[in-house]
Amino acid sequence: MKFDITPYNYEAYYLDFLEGNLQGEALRAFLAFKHTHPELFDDVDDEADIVNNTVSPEPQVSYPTNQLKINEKIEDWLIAYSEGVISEKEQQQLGQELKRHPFLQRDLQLYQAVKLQAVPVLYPNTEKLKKHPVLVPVWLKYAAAIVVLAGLFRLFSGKFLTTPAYSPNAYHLAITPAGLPDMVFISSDAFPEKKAEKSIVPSQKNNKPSRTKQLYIDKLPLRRHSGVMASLPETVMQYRVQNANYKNTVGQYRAGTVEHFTSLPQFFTFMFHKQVLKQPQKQFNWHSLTAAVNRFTPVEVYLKNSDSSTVFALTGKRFLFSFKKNK
Amino acid sequence: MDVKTYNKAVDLLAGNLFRFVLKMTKNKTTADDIVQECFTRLWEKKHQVNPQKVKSYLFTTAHHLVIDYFRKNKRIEYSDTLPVTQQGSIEPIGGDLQDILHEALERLPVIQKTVVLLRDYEGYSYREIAEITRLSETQVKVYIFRARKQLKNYLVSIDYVL
Repeated sequence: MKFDITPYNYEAYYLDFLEGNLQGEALRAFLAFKHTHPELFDDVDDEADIVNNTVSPEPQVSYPTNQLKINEKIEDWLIAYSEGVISEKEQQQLGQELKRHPFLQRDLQLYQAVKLQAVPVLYPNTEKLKKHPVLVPVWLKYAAAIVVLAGLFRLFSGKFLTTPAYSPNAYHLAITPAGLPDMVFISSDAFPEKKAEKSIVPSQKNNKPSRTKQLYIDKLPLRRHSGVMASLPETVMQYRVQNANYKNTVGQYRAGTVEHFTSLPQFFTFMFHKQVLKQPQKQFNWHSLTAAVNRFTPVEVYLKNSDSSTVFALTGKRFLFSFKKNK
Repeated sequence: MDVKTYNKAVDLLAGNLFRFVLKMTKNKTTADDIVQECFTRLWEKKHQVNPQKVKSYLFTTAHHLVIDYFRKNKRIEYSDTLPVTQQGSIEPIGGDLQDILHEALERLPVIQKTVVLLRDYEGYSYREIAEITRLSETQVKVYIFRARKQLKNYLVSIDYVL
């Protein structure tokens, strides 16, 4: 058996030691502990004195003259019985002793009586001990949500600001009042980088818009390029060509053609490439691209000249690609 | 252990722990301090203490703190027997049995008092008391038996009539 003697339990071993009840391994363990913790035994000058002074003789217990002094073994049985830890064999032996010595009944009653009854005690500072989870006020939750949404919007908007995809000059997003532009100016003054394309367009020789070209543009029916923009759940946008059978250099768009986009920049990319830049016969003078978002018209894109005149416009509810000869 | 379990432990065990420590130290302020320290340590070790062993942990901590308190205040008694002021006194002492037993309890050595309180107040088994006091089960049994003898002899010495 291993004896784990610590500063918290050594007194029990010490008492056994003082009484001479510590033997064998227990005694060796205690002596080793005593040697390593001399400070715990500083107050004890002479163990022999302690034994003499503190261990008093057994109290004199008076019994009726006709009764024998209870022997230690039977006393242990009485305690074990009252403690509920007596073995079956011991209980039988105790029963026989009780029959033989009826005076033991009194000792049994005493042992059964020497038990403390727990009285409920109310600890006065219970609430002080308790932990309380941090409660976030409702208004703070709403405020946090607004801040997060604002941050997301800013991040989302930032994509436009940081994606100069189609113009080295200017490309910016601005929230502008909703309004449906009724025309887009088209000029023969092409982008500098588009000059190569101009050269392969017969109608744009001499870098001037031909009348045919202008007429062609003028004659473009608005409806050919009209479509409906819709915001779908999970930021998927859809562009449905409403009434078109329009063929350009990129491809043919038929009524009912549907394109899906997961972001506004993606949509702009599509529109620019498909509808503007990749049409070699159309050259635009433009200075800035403005995208407007508001609750009534989900998306508006304005391509403007440096003098703020509109070059190209897209609107969300119904895209009208209007073309007009440049002044 | 989450906040809910901890607070439940406070509700269920703070009173019992306070009663045990108060009975040992006889000082309300000290008992309050020790109880608070026990629960503070429990909260600090909330991830290590098995929720099923919370009571045992608290009483073990309280036992150690009580021993520390006695050691600091030089109140450890090495006597294992009841001091009898007047040997063989048979003067009857009146009063309720529990009052008399509590009076006798105060005369027991700390270790015997501890094991008796844990046994009678909290209903711990010898094995559980052994875990709390870091004694062997046999030692616990010996101390409880000795304590019972002392308490019974005290009743006999005052000629208490059941």
